[in-house]
Parts: sequence; C-alpha cells; structure tokens
Amino acid sequence: MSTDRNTPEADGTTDLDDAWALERTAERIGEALRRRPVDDAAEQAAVAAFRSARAAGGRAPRTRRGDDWRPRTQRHRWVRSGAVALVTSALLGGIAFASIRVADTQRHDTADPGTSHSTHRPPADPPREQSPPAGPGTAPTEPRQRPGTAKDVAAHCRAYEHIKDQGHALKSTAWQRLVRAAGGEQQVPVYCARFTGAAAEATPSPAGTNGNKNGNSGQGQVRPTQRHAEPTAKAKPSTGS
Amino acid sequence: MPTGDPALDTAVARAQDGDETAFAAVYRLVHPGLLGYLRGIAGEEAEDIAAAAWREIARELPRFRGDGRGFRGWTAGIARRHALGRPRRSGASARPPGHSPEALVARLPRAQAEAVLLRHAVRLEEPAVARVMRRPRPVVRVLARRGLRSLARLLGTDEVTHDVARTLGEPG
Repeated sequence: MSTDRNTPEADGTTDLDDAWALERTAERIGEALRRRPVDDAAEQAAVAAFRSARAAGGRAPRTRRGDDWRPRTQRHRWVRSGAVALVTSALLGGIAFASIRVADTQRHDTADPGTSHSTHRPPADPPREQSPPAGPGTAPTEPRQRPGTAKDVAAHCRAYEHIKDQGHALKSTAWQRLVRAAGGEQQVPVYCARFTGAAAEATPSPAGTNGNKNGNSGQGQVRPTQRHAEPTAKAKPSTGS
Repeated sequence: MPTGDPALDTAVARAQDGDETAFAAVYRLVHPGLLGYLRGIAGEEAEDIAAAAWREIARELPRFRGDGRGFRGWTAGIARRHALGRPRRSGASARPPGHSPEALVARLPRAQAEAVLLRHAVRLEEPAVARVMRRPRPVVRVLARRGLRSLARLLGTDEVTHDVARTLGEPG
C-alpha cells in the first residue's frame, strides 16, 4: 500500500476541486479502457460456449450464494432493523436494571424514609390488606400477587426516592411494576411508606423468605402466604403521623 | 455511475431463457468494461483471462440471479477469480508501454488498481466493488481514492485533467 505523505493536494488546493479532478480522471481512464475495439472472434467463442452449454442442457443448476446478486429487498432491511431494535432494547433494559441496583446499594446503608417530605403522609385510600382476601383476580389485587417480595419493594422504594426525577429510568419494567402496584405514580410515596417503614422498624425476614418460596410458583392471587404480608400491614400505623 | 441498465436487464433475462442473440448482446454490453479491468490488472494476458471467464459465464449463467447491474458484479467476480489464478507478472516487461491508461493503472498497487478499475471501468457501485474484492466498503473506498490520487500524481499534479485529456486523446 503506498503512502500519500507528500501529495501536493495537502498544500492548499481545496478538497472539493481535488475530488472533482480525481473523479474526472477516473471517468476518463475508465472510458479509455472501455473504448478498445472488441474482438469479433472472442465474441464468437463466447457465444459458442453459450450454445454448447445450452446443448448440454440438463436440469437448471442450483444457485449458489455467490450467484445471487439480487438487490437487497425490503424484507432484508426489516429483519436487520428488527435485530437492531432488539439489541437496543436489551441494552437499555440492562442499563435500567443496573441503575436500579446501583441506586439501591447506595441507599441501602443510609436508608432513611424520613428524608422525603411525602413519605409520612397518611395513606389516602384504605389499605388493601384489609379487603376480603377472597377476591378473584382483578386489577387492584395485583400488588398482592407476590407478597413475599416486600423486601424487594422496599428496596425499589428507596431507590425510587433517589431516582424519581430522572424520567427515563421510570420507564423500566421494575419501576412500572412499582407504579402499577402502588396504583399510580402519585400513590408511590404512600405505597412505599408502608414498606420502607416496615423495613426500617423490624426486619421481616420470615415474611421475605417464605414469600419468596411460594411467590415464585405462579400467578395465583390468593394464597396462604398472604398472611406473611401482615408485617407490612402492621407497620402502617407506625408510619402514619 | 449509471443507476440502471434496462437494455442489459432484458438481455440477461432473455439469455437466461436460452436466447443466443441476447447472450451476444450481453457480451457486447459487458465485455468492454470487463476487458478494461483485466487489462489494468493483468496486462497482456487480459484477453486470455477474459476468454476463460466468458466460458465460465456461459456455462454458469442459469445459476445467476439478479438484474443487469448484478450481472456486471457477478461477471467481474468470475473474471477476477480467473485473473487471480494466474500470478501477476512483475517488472517493466509486463507493463503496457507508454502512457496508455493500462500503463498508468498497472503502476498502481494491485488493490488500488482493482478498486479504481472495478469502479470506473466496469462501473460497479461501491457495495458491488466491495463484494467482488471481498473487502469492507470503507477499505474499498479508501483504496479507490488512493488509487485515483496516485494516478493524478503519475499524470502530473497541477494540470491533472488536461494531462489526462491529452494522454487519452491519442490512444495507442
């Protein structure tokens, strides 16, 4: 490969003129190379080769990969853009989860629910734990689908306080689940007060471990482990002012 | 660069259906560029290589899929394979004499010469050049640009276009 260190175009002529001149050079050389007279005998030989290949006949040979020079179709483009979208969403999701965990570990030691002005607001709606436990699967019962994750929710709540002003982070699945569980973004502080208050007051380890064991087994709305959520229910009066 | 070539599109399609006249038309449309490319990289052996390439093209034509533009790329790839099968003769004896376009291009490094010739003699577009040369597109772009610069330098730098015009005005 030759180096172009001492090319004269470096001294001041504009790139545009240079490019134009080079393009003209190329066109002229290309034209000159193509302008040579065509040998009739060579053409006859080629056509004869074509004729004998036809005469040999047989089945149409398979098209190999190198023989396919069709232009890229719309379908190819769709497949490619789909793959790009998939990779991008996976990356963004990973970043969002990582940011949750980072925020969580940062807040974990200094968890102080009192720092937020809204944390101590009494719950606006009646606590869901007191509603009859026999309700079949309706949307409001969703937060109780996984009672064993109280600890997780508390962790998410603490992280939420930390990160709630960063709009993009709130789009992640974990946040949306938290918001949905709380029944709306406005309700998150109220909802969280129950969990963070409980976590700060006493470690509900039995509830956490039992709940995790049972909570992973399915989407059932009502189950005996429901009772293990009681520590959070008890914690509620302590958080109310 | 031509964006399309309806005449070649039709001729290729009819030749694939077995039309001998159409194949002759294809030859007349494609051969000059192919031969220019081969002259630039193989010098005097270009005609022999082209003949061998056309025998293969005639035999393998039913395998080909694509339009006229694709056909130029496909045939260039076949010609290139035949050219690479033979060692490039080095030394002044292999070079075409004088200031003919072949002589100028033959003085470039092979990859640069190929990039310039595939682009401007065969008139392939950049993606096709990359596919024929089996190199990434950015590499091919750089090779073609360097090749053109070297050509311009060989022709004399201050009056590039005039020199080329004068040189090419008197072929042979």
